[in-house]
Amino acid sequence: MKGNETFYSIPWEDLPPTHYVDNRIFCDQKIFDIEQRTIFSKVWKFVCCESELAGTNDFRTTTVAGVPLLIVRGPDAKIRAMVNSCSHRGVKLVEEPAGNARKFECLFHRWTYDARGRCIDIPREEGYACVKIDKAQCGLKQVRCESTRGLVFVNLDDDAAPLEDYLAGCLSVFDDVFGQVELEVLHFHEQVLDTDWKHWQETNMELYHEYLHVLNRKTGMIDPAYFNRAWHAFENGHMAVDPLIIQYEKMQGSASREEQTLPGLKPNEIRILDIFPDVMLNCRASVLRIDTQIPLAAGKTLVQFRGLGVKGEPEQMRRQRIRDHAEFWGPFGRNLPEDALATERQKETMGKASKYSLMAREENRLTQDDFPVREFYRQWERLTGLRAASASMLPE
Amino acid sequence: MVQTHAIPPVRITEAPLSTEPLEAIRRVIERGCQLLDAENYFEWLATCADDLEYSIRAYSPEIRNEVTWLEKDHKGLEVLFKQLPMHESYKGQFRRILGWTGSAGHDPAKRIFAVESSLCVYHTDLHGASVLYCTAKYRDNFRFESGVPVMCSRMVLMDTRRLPFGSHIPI
Repeated sequence: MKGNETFYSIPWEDLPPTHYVDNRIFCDQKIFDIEQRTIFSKVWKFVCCESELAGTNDFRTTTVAGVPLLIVRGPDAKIRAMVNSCSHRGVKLVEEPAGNARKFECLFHRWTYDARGRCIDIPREEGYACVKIDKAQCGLKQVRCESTRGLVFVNLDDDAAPLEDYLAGCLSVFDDVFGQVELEVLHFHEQVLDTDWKHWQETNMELYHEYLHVLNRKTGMIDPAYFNRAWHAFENGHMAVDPLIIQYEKMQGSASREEQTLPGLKPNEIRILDIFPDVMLNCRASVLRIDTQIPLAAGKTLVQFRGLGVKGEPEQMRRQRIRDHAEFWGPFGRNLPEDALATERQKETMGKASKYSLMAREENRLTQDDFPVREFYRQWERLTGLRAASASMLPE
Repeated sequence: MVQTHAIPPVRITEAPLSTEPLEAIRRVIERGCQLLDAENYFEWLATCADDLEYSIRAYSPEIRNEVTWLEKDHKGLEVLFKQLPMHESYKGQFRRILGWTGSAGHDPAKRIFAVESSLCVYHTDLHGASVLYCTAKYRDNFRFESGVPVMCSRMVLMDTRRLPFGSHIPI
């Protein structure tokens, strides 16, 4: 506007298209639908831990790409995933988030399924004789399900490569932990965030945002080694950063976690792995946090937060681990509410007041380089066929 | 399952708490809500015992176990309140609405009176929009010091498991 001073003059058109994104990717429902179809319906999606299905006939429910799923440990100890929808007329079979059941009965017409998903009863089944339909054809649709290191993944794509191919070795980052002890979930909570799923995943990837957290500034960023950690890219968009020793005692009220550091880690070590598209494993010495998301709409996501500790450990150690988890990552923790606040405050301006987001930090792929988010969007582009910098179709 | 209760359950006796102590305790709980609403955190802490144990818990049907969302002693709360200004927080006003308060038992040997109260907490943002933040129960243990009820433990038992937003502030 004539006569006004201009302080905003980022030269977007001069930047490489890998170094910024068009903010419409965070608020356009058509783009969200493309993501559901090309990403969440095609990748291996973490859904729960094996410890949540410890017993025979234990089940969990979840949703992937809008499809409600039932995950069950059958009487043969195998974990299966199936569509949580009655084959008759689509009633959602199980509403509970978890439980134990030998069979699942639809409330509507009482069609019944066993823990493997086979249809075991149709009232007055003879009524379908005219079209030759019987129980054997009416089981629950099975969904690809594989586990590794106590983590359960599903894939809606029947033709997808095996899980280990998809993970491309990224979980080796935590093999010295997984290989030493059996972990189990000691914490679970969920929150619907008024933000796009990609914004939450960005926060879990880019460490520049640690300026947001007073605890991180005072216990991590004070160490010069903090800024010299290398990022490592795996195939399929997964990323890990070199670990760091945190100085918890530098913040009043915070204490060293040396005694309860998980086996395989150095005392007070923090270690982070991001699994494309929506999972983060973050280990703060004594407790492992796993985030996973159920995107609900453009600009709205349900985040599931898990904390893991050692199975069968003494009560006192467990209590300390729970306190350590709550200190940073509980709903009343020091860090988690701040992450949610920042990402939710992004939403209002997306695609309107704020047209682009800068991802241009280059620091030799060290700690606060935007390399992980750039790599994230390269994988996003490969799967969606869209260009992140223009929210449009990639040229052929 | 590993038990994680920090506060042992109060032994229930035959005789319920009589009206007078219960009313006195209720007034202290109300005053506590007033102080917390007004963000007078240190003043609220001063009404509590020096050996206060505070926690916020919920039962998670997802993992079929209790989860702890916050656990602090008196000193830990003092440090938290001192550090609150250093944190980024959702702005606005919490309003605690206390429902019923009932006796949950009396341990004459330890002179502890246990009460439970129902609670709704609302939050009004900077633009004046109010939402129900959570419903919960307070499970409090009190003892009388010089005739005045002093809270020596509080367990906030959350009904709400999906909060509208996280907070650094005790419920």
